[in-house]
Amino acid sequence: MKDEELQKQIEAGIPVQSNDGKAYQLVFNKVKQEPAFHVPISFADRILAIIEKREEQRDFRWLAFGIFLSVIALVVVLTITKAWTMGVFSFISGYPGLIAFGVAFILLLQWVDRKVVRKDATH
Amino acid sequence: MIDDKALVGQVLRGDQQAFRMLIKQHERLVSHMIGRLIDKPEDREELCQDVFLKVYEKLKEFTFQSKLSTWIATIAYRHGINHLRKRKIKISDLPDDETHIERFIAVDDASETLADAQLDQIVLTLVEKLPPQYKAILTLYHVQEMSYPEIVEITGLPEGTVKNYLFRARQLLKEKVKQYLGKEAV
Repeated sequence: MKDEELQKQIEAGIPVQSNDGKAYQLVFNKVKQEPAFHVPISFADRILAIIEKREEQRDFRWLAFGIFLSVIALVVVLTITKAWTMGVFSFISGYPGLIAFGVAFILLLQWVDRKVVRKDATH
Repeated sequence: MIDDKALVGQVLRGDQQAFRMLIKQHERLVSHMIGRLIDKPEDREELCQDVFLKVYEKLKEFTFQSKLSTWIATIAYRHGINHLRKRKIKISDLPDDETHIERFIAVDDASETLADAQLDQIVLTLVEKLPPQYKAILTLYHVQEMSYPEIVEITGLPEGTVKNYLFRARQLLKEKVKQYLGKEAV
């Protein structure tokens, strides 16, 4: 019997008594076995940790990019207007408490977003 | 079990637990594929990790035109093959010439490798000696029980080639097992 027919018969579950048939039967039984390699139990945790770290780094890069653009914008504005003064922000000096509260509130919101809101969404 | 569409939707909305579930559901598939393609144990885990990082990165591009498992297996297969190509390892080097086939099923080679092996380990040892594409197709067909169209999609090979590789791989394994069984009988 040809190899092609033997393979078809064994795949169909028909027993074949020849030497070739027995060898094929052994091959078919064993190739179904899973390879010995398995990933460790903590594999998924490790991948999630890498993703979290990458996203933090991406956030940091965007923050750095934003600060860089703000500095560029400030330099451009000061160059164009030739107004080398911070006069436009002088009103701030009258409300130091309000400004401090504003900055603290924004930082608090960012902290809550990072530690509570995002964590709840992902767990 | 949660269906592919719902699971992918949850991952895309930033639900890390959904991605954990996706990894758990497919880690065996990926580890089988990479485990069969890559010989070096130290590379296997890192490659499996890279596959899932790529899955996370590319998930928004998944269009549900195939099963999620087929798409992930495609990424794993290509990642494994690219890794082998970078190391200049031949991925389907089993030409038709008789000398090559004879070399694979050479008796001396069998006696060296299998002298102390248990019978149930013989075929697995021989499978490891096959070229990577043959091993991948054997694994997808016999271990993952995937259909020919799925294997075609994963490997990018024509259906005729997939069937041919599967046939030849089993035939070569049979020839070598037959030799070993013959020796045992002596």
